[in-house]
Amino acid sequence: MAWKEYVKNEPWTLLKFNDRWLRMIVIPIFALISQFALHPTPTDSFFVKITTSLIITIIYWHISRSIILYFRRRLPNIQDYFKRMVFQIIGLILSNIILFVLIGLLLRKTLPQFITNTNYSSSFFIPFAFTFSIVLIYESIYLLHEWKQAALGKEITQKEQVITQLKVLQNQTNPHFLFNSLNTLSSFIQEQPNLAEKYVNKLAEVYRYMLNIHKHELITLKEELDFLADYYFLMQIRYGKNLHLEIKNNGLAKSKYIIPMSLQILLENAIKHNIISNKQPLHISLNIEKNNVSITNKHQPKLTKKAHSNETGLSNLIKRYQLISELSPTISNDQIHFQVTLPLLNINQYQTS
Amino acid sequence: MIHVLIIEDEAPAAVKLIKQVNELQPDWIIMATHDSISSSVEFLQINEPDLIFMDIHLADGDSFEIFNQIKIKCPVIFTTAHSDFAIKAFKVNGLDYLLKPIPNSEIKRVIKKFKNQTGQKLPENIHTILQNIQTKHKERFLIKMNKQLISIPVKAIAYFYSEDKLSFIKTEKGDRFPLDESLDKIEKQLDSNSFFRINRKTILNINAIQKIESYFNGRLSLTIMPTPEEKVIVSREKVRYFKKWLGD
Repeated sequence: MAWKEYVKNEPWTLLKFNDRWLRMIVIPIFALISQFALHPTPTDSFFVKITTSLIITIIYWHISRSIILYFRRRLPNIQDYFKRMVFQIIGLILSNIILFVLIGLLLRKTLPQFITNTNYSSSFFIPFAFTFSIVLIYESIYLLHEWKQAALGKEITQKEQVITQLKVLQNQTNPHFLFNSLNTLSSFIQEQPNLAEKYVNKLAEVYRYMLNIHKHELITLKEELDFLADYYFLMQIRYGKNLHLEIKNNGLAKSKYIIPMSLQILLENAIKHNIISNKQPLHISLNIEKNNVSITNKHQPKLTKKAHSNETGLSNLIKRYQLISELSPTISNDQIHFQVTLPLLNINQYQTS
Repeated sequence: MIHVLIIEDEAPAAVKLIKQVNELQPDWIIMATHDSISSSVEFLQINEPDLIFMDIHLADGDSFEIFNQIKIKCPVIFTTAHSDFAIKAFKVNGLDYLLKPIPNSEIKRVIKKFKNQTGQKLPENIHTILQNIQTKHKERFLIKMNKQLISIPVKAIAYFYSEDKLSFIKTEKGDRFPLDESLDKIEKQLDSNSFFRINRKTILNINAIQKIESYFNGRLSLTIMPTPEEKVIVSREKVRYFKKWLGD
């Protein structure tokens, strides 16, 4: 019962493609060529000759194919590839010799006019060459397929790794950010209840965005800018006029895409690593161009470096870009200004018929 | 005079909302606050408020259940802390909602809107709208291929399949795209009316099915478009659900 499904299904899975058309086209071509190997007797009709040749080619092809399939089934792992090739080649040589002898005997009995001793034995290498080409076709398709799968698989594992790292990082930053925000809030909640309420509302907006964003790989620049505005509001209350963000929008880039929270990470980094004081206020400028967006701040690093904050946010951002695009963020630091430029991405809509 | 009902399971949130409404509309009467589906339904069987503020997550379940149990004639404004797909879908369907914490400006906005359209009822098909909203599914998949990002609408997908532990999308047009999620994960994001996991390796769009034939061991063999490389078999344990899915 099950054998029928086995025969119908298994070969294509093992061969990594449906070889029906290959066989239908290539077998007749091989037959056409190999008929010249038969003894040239012009008296015989071309039809008998080509039929004989076709039958022989079909037998050769399918026996070789079965041998390939047999060893792929027995040794399916890519690690056993070399071992399998050795067995396969031995199997094919043996089968070729046996087939050659059997077919020779059969021809001598049924169609002796095609066969002379010298002629037949000298044609041994013709089916041999064909068998070799058959193996070459099947193996190259197999290897191409394995190579493609391996490349895809590698990309996917990389992606999974970065996503896990990212989650860990997010779980670290969120509590810190919440804690700092609550501290800020407690300092003015009694004196300025209206502002405190506004602050809480913005904090809720920021968290709402953070909670939802993990579902999206990319987000429109407009959405990210709205989020950044809320985040900046919170920071502005904390640092007052010592912190200043200037947004210069030069382009019609709002429909372009960006990695979620990327601008916030850059703003957060600038705030975290630089001096923000009455004497040395921090000016940050955000420039939106046609194909990229950059955040620039005056390089005024804190005298004591934070223990474990070393640009993990930034390197993670670069990794995330690498996974999704060929374009990568660029960082420039000339000790006067620190600048990070993020490429803006386009998404093509799939054209449905 | 406007009679307002507040359905909210968090006491401080209810108190805050009452205060906000009172400040803006001192003449309105807050009839009651209820914190559960059951008590709200009981209340609504006897009373007819002019406006309801309704939290989505209540003590005993989602407030949508109220609409299953009783017909509500007055406008409803939903309140929630989460802005997910479902909430965004509200606006599309003309339903109003407030995100918590609710800023005064937002309360002002909905009250103004309510005053301008008094007498306007909930849409007739509120029931189906809410049902659809509750089960909001992924509409597009983002694919990275050949240095390009491509957004593929779910409608255009004939089936998802796995091959050597990798997942792929096959579109109606026959294009193939690699996807970096497992079929298990993909399955959860899809609308179960259109898509069905027929076996371990395939999730099928109902529109891709051309022909169904019975097969060995009580399984089903399918002809689907575009034709895949392997034969498509509905595994035995899935056959019963598959038939039910087609029948619905």
